[in-house]
Amino acid sequence: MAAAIQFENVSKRFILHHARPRSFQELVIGALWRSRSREELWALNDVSFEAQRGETLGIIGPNGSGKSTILKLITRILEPTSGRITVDGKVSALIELGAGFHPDLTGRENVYLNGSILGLSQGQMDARFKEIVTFAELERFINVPLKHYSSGMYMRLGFAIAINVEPDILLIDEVLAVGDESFQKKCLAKIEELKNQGKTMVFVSHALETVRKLCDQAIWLEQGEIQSVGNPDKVIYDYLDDLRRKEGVALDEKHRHLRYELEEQQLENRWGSGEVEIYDVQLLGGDGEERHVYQTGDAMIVVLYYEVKEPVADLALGVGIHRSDGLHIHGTNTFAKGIHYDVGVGKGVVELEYGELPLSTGSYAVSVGVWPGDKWQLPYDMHNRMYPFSVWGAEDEGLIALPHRWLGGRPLDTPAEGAWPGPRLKFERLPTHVLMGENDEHCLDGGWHEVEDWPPKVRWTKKRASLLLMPDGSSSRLSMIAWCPQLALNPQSGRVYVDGRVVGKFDLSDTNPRTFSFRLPEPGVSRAIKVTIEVKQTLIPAEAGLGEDRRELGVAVQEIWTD
Amino acid sequence: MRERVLELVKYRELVRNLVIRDIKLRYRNSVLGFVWCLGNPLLMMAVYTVLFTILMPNNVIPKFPVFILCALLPWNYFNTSILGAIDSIVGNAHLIKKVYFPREVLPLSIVLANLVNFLLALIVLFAMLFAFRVHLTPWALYLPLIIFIQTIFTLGLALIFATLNVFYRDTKIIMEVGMLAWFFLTPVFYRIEDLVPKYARLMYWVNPMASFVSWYRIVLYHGISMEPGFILRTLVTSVVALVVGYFVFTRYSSAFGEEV
Repeated sequence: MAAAIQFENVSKRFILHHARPRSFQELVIGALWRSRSREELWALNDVSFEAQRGETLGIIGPNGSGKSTILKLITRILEPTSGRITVDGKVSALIELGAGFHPDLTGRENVYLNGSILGLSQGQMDARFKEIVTFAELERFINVPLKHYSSGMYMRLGFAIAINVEPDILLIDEVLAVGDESFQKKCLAKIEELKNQGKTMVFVSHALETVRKLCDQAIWLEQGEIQSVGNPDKVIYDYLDDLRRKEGVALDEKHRHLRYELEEQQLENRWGSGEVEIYDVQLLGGDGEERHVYQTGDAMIVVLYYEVKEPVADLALGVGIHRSDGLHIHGTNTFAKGIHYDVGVGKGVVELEYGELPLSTGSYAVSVGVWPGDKWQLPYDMHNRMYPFSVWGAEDEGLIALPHRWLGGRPLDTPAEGAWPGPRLKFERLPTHVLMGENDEHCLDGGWHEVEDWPPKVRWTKKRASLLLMPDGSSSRLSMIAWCPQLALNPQSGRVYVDGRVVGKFDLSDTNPRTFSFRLPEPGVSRAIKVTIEVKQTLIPAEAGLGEDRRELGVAVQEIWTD
Repeated sequence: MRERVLELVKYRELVRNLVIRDIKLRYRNSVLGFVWCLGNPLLMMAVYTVLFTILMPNNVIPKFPVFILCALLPWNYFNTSILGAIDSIVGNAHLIKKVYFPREVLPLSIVLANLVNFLLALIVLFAMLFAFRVHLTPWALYLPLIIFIQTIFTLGLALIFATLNVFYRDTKIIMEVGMLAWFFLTPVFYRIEDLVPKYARLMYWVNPMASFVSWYRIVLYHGISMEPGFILRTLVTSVVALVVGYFVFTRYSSAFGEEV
């Protein structure tokens, strides 16, 4: 693979002119010779990275970290102060849509003008014109001057041009807030399509989740320097980890400040009669470190330090969580749980642990309070939403991240025995090893009876039974432990198929568990495979005069695995 | 340098489109539209005719309105080109900051758009020459060469001033007055012979525009031949102006992105 974009020790310096002459003399001198009082700003400092052709590169980092400077250097709008930049291919930027549009020209004229600004010839534009107009959904307005366009139409046209000039390298800055929802979907689909066509993309965003999903490589920039580069998961982790530490410091300072103000002014988010005081509150992560940014599923411990100043009858300590918009998400207190604390004068500490925060991405705040018994309305000390924290992570929508998993599925119009490829929904967590208990039910593809608690657990097959397995990539064999119906009159035999191909036969003559092992037709695969067990004949115990059981039984299977 | 020129060639479509845009926009919202390309010099002509044949007859120079127009149209071409080009980089900051293309495209397209306008105005000039019964001689065939050399000269200056204006916005303000002064120092409304002789020589040497307008006048109005030395001198001056202009422009154009 060749590098589409290569930065070698690139630095970019901006010179900020402090153009404010302080005297008339300076004004005159300044006019003749640019004032000396200038400040240097290194927007990028010794930055090196490569984006391979077809790769999607994400750049993250706080505002002013140099992300946009990188994009402008790639487009050659800016030239580096030092270092080398190699860009191979035509660049199109979804940064400033419709740069160069002229309000007095019609849509058609602007399309051609914009195309030539982006370096396309008349002929090339002729070929793309129709597509651009259709994409922008502006067929009716294409011969109308742009000044009569709505801003949405304007943006749509800009986007349609930028994305249809067939760039080799596409630069995307921030969220694509173009047009209505359906148009946005179309844009994202088009971007996905270009990605699949092997176009190189550079994606600058604050939306970490999008970067994680879209990018093959990520860069974290901070004050013009690369802090971390490589796998997006790792880079995002590094970034958040740093943010946690920094934000922790910042928030602590804020707290101190807030507390000071409280003492001074009695702000309205703290009130109470004062017999008991909560004098410190800490939010800790699972590792016991104080933190203010959590990931969905992280543990959080709220620590309350309190001081009983005057003897009180009973006290209840409570903790609540609110979303930034004020929605009350959770509340609990010691009194309700029947926990009673020593109420003697003196200091104490209480910890509340949330084992796994099931919260979606967002900003939250913890409230704490202490009050007599069940009279929460008359608190000794109440801190209303004073301890902010934020959560990052879950891709789920909504208020909380309910624990869940997808079990897969298949189209209803296809019989269970239908040809592979079977389920249209991807099975995310197919096992490599199936024990026939309830836990692995989701990988069974039909032809099985209910689980039988026959320690260990087993299942009977019908005439044909299938299941799905996910070999881990190093497996070459398929094995199973099975035995005959207990009351079999004749030896039982059958075949095993993988993805519809026979891999082996088995013969069973008694009820002793036997292990069979077959070669996988494609050793080393790491996709889902469909295993089918087919028996020559089945047995219905009741018909054979062997009890009440009217099920059609093949063989009993205890385990199936690949190794 | 060679690469830059080749790149410019690659972007010739953009130059063409910008020239077309410029011409279209100039008359787009007017009622008469393209007619103004001709109407403007025609009206100007009418004003001078009324002024110099009825209100203030000039008896020294015959056919005075044509005499003026022969010099005024080339001057206008130069004047509008320079004033337009000065602002071409700064005025297109939104483009410069957002899209890459060879920056010289902008002053170039302004000069070329004005050239097109000038060529259209020449139609009126020929009509006037005919109306005033000035007989054209074969020397008028020099006209394309003169226009070509003047364009080279104009382009050179346009590049220099456009660059200067990026770093010193005073350039535009100064040049608005400067061009007026230059206009009066160019023999448009008078004959160069009317000047004190020693200044006349000086003017030819320091003011290439004086050479240009005289040249137009000699081949069109007087219909006589040109000294070859005169042609060579203006050609050299113009090429030097273009080379210097292009050098200055390319030298500093990489900084345009952050200075505009």
